[in-house]
Amino acid sequence: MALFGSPGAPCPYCYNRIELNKVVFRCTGQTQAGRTACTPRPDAQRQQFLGDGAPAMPIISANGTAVVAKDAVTCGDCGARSAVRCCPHCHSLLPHSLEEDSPLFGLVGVRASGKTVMLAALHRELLKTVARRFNAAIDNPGGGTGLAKQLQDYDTEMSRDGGRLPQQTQVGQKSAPAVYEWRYDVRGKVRSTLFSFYDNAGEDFASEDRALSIHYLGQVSGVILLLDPFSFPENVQKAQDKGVVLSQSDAPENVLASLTAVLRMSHAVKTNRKITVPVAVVVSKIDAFFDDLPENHPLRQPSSTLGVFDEAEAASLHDHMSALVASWGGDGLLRSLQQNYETYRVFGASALGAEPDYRTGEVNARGRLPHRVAEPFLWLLAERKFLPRKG
Amino acid sequence: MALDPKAYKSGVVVPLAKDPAQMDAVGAAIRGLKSSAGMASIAQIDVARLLAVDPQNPGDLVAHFKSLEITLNKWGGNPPSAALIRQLTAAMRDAGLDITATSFWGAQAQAQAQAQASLIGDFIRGLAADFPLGVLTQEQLESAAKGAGLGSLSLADLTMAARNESLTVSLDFEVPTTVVPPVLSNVVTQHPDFRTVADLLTFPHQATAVTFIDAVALDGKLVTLTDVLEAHKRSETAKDSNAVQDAQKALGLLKSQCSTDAQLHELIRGALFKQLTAAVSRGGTRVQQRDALVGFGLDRIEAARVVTKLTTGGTASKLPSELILGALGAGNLAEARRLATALPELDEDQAERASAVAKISAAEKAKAAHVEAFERAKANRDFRTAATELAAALLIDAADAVLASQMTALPPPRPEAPSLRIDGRAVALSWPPLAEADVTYLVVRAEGAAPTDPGAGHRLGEPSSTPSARDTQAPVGRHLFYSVFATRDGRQFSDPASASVTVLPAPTEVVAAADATQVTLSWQVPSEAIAALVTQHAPDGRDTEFEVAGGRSFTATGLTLGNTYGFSVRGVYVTAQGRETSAPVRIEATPRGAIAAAGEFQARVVNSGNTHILECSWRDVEGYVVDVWAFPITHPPLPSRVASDSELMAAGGQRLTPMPGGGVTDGRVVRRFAAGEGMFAYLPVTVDGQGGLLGASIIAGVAPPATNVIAERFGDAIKVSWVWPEGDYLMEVAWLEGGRTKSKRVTRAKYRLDGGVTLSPATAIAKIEVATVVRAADEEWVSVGVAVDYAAAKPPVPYTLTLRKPLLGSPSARVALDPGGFSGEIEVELVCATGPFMPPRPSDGSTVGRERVTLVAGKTSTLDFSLPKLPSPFWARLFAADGSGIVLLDPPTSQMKG
Repeated sequence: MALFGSPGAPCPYCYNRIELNKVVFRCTGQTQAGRTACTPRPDAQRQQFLGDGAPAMPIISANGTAVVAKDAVTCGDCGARSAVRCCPHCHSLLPHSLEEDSPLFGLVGVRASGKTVMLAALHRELLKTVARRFNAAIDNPGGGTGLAKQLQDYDTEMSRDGGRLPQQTQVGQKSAPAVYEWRYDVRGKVRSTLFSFYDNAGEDFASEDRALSIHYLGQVSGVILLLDPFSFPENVQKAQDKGVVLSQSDAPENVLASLTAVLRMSHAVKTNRKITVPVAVVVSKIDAFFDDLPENHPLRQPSSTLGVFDEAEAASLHDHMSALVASWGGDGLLRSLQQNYETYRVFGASALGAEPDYRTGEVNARGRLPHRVAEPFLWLLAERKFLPRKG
Repeated sequence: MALDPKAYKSGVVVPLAKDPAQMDAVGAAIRGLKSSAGMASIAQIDVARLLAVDPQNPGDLVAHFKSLEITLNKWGGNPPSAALIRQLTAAMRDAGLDITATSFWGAQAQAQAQAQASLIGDFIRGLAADFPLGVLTQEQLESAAKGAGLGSLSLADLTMAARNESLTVSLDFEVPTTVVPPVLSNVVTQHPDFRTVADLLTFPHQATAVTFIDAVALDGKLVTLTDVLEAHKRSETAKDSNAVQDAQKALGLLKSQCSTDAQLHELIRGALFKQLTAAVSRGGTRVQQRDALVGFGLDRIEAARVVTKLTTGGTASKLPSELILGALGAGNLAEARRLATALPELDEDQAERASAVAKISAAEKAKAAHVEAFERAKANRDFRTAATELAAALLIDAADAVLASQMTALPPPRPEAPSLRIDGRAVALSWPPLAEADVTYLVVRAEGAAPTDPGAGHRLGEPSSTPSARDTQAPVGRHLFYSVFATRDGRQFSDPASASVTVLPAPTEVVAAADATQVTLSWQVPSEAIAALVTQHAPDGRDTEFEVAGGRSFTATGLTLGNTYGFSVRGVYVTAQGRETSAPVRIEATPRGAIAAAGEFQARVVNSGNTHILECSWRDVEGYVVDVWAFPITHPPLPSRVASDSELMAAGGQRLTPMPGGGVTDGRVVRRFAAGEGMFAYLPVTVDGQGGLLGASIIAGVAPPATNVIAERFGDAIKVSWVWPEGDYLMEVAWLEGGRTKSKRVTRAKYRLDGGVTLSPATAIAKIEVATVVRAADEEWVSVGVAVDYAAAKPPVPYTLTLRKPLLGSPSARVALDPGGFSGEIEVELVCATGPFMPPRPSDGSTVGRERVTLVAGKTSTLDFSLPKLPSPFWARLFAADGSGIVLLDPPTSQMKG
């Protein structure tokens, strides 16, 4: 990070910081007359960072080194002029709306906490319900590739009759994060932001050592921590009754401890300070506990359809959810949050809304009835003042 | 080894003399020796035997030949073979063969064995050419071997060699001498349906692999009397024809003539041989003849044996015994006796002739017994037994013209009694045919008593072989007797078989014509009928009789429209017994008005217990039945107005059968039917003959319902979700809100996008149902809804909480309850808890106050509670006691924190 200059922007794909006026360019193939055209070829950088081995047009280089510029360069091989800006690290196409403060969000959670299912539900909510609620245009720049493509496929699979939940994400599996661009009008003025989600295998967070190896948490602007309600002490019997598989390392406190250690290290937070990265603690699969909640419980209220973020409602919900977590034996986790984080909020959500068959992995035949899935994400955007708030 | 001249003569010399072929062979050997062929010349004759040398134990050969020479010289030329042997010995010596050396006889035996093996091979191959059918008798084999100079070989060796060349050596057999009754012969000669008598036994199928020489069998299974009985039974149920009738006769004869399997076999054997002989006599090569017999179902070997037997015989060289047996077999007993008396006796035929004469005597004795039994039965007018006995005698002596004439003159047995049937004005008669050949029947009708002879009444035509008759001139109203007589010659008749009947013709051309309240019947009866008796059968089971004297019509009045009435009409006749009526003719009629389509048709499916019932109703069409038909929703266009049942079925229609019950109320007919799964277009059809007038169709049915329907409360909203039925349907969610039914339709895609269907406000909604919507072309149908188990939400009562912590004095809390539209008494308690977490339940904190308060709709109620001193942070929360009819809504948690 430059001391007085721009700190640069994080690449939404590889989460490396880049200087936006020092990027590389991909040849367009529009060759000059009499020159031999460049052709697609495997890109070692994309393979390394994103696991993408598909042939792509080459990065324009001179003497074996990629040419770095701000707006456009000419290919020395074929003479094509290119303004296709790419990340110098992972060679991913950089969206034009990428700015220095474009947020990156991390989704972390233990194995089988439903991260991928939650992301697939969030993907759907963003493109449909949230876009409608805030009268926004939300899409995946450059088309649905990488994780965005996978989330779309998962969504399609889970929507069909007899659909199945996604398979467990494999440890070390590389995939381009899901990148979204949000544009909407605020009092007649267009506001836009670019944000990115990265999915990881649950095992990566099962211990502190593994969490340390997670590169992208060092660059995140906010974290969504997904907790499995069945892993709280008071709910273990219920988990067994429903066939939910849990392990010792799945304890919510363990996950939070790992996350805290990673964030403290990657964001250089002293032990006598609280972490400033906002953390949305999401208790997933909340529909499994609806029967335990009175009809008037705020958790059983539908999401607001107003185009603002209701801070008072979110705060009340946080208190009710905290009370519920405490009653499940999760008061230690809450105290840990209070002691380590400057900004955090507890949410309850359900990506499916109706319990799947945990043993077979089959979606409930009544379909998916997602509940309050987007609230944590909206809270993070509201914290960044991208969304209007009330209360 | 000393020569025994006597034994040598009888064992070698005389037999040689009687064996010209062997004599020729010895002659050929002598000629060969003289032409310097040496030992090879004598290899083909058994020279050691001829010269009485034992090659295994030759002894003093010099002495032996000296003795042999003396003996042969002594005999000279008598027999001639002695001279020939002497010449053979001399030729062997002249050829330089040392016949006194032991080694010579060893070499000679070896050469002879080789030559014989070669000779046998040539012989058998030649035999196969001579017997192209591949079958020969033992006698033929031995004779041929003898002719080929192989007479010294045993029959077993010859048979083995023949088998190796695929020749079958069988025993010769005697030609069957059984006389075949004409019935058995005629059935084959007159009807190509039967190739041989064997086909009768397998009726109606053809027999295969028939054997009869050694055993009478079909397909390897011995024929028994049971086979005859079963074949006869099958023939009785077969479609009637001349062939079938003759087959019945032939099988009947086998049944009556044979009391044991052996008798049956003898008869079949004789019949078969006779029929096969006729086939072979038509000429052709022997192979063709054999194949022709195989075509008759005969076993291949059996066929070859028959052909061989029939084509290698001949009478020229027949012995007297054979001629006698031939005459006996041909059924000519007198000729057999004549031959036995006239033919000379031969030494070689003595035994066979004695046997033949014994057979003649036995046959004459049996014939006499049968003739005696015949006379006795005839005297007793037991013509059936008489015929049986006479036939048995004729089997023995078919050539006895007297017996034959007696048979012809013998009346047939009495037929079985005829069955009589009135057919209009006519009387139809039928009776089982007799199992007799050349029998005809005469029917005689009389009044008052059954005719006992053919002249005692009116003859129905001339005698006929058909076992049925029809009397078209039968007098009406008379008691008639019919007698059936059987005859062979038209002069001698059997005893009569009789039956009687009174001809009372039923009315004909019975027609009914109906209008709204009456039915008019018309009919025809013979002029002999004095009246008609009409019985009216009302729908309630009541019968009313009307007699119509002399008339041909009747009108029943005062009938109820739409009810079906039955009418029976009988002719009334006066007979000798008095007044009698004919059999009734029944007809139904329904008083009714002009036909019309069933109007205001409605169809719907209702639940009845756990089953679905289709309930249809329509405006009644008086006097007509209305059927309900079900069609697939996508049925092809129907005729606009009138259609036949076949047209409706061709369009995929199915007539529904109504369930018991239903009825007519205020001119509307209600009928219930079992509802099939799925959706159908239901159509009323006013029945008119084999079709009807079509009404307007309505779609109804049982669509697959939504399952696992759940309504969940989320604040002031209700989320309804379910498992969609398979198929392309819309779903309609209906609910009761403010006393009115509201509904919302949702597609599967919309349901998925929204995650179920959300309804609000929850407190105003009740009776939620989810129904399946079916759309077809421009018609739409909504199923019966699936009710959702949803309890109406309790009225929400929000409250605000104000915590006061004065510097002096105790802290307090003020609660303001906003009952909205609710009025009533409730009990609440204020619970406080210290710490960072709000108490989720009353038990998670301490109750600081409990109050009963009467809420009035639209009026805020305030409660004040004193609080104990509590360290910060602490929480205060209001809970409603169990049983309260409301739900408390917490204020923002910021109000609850102290």
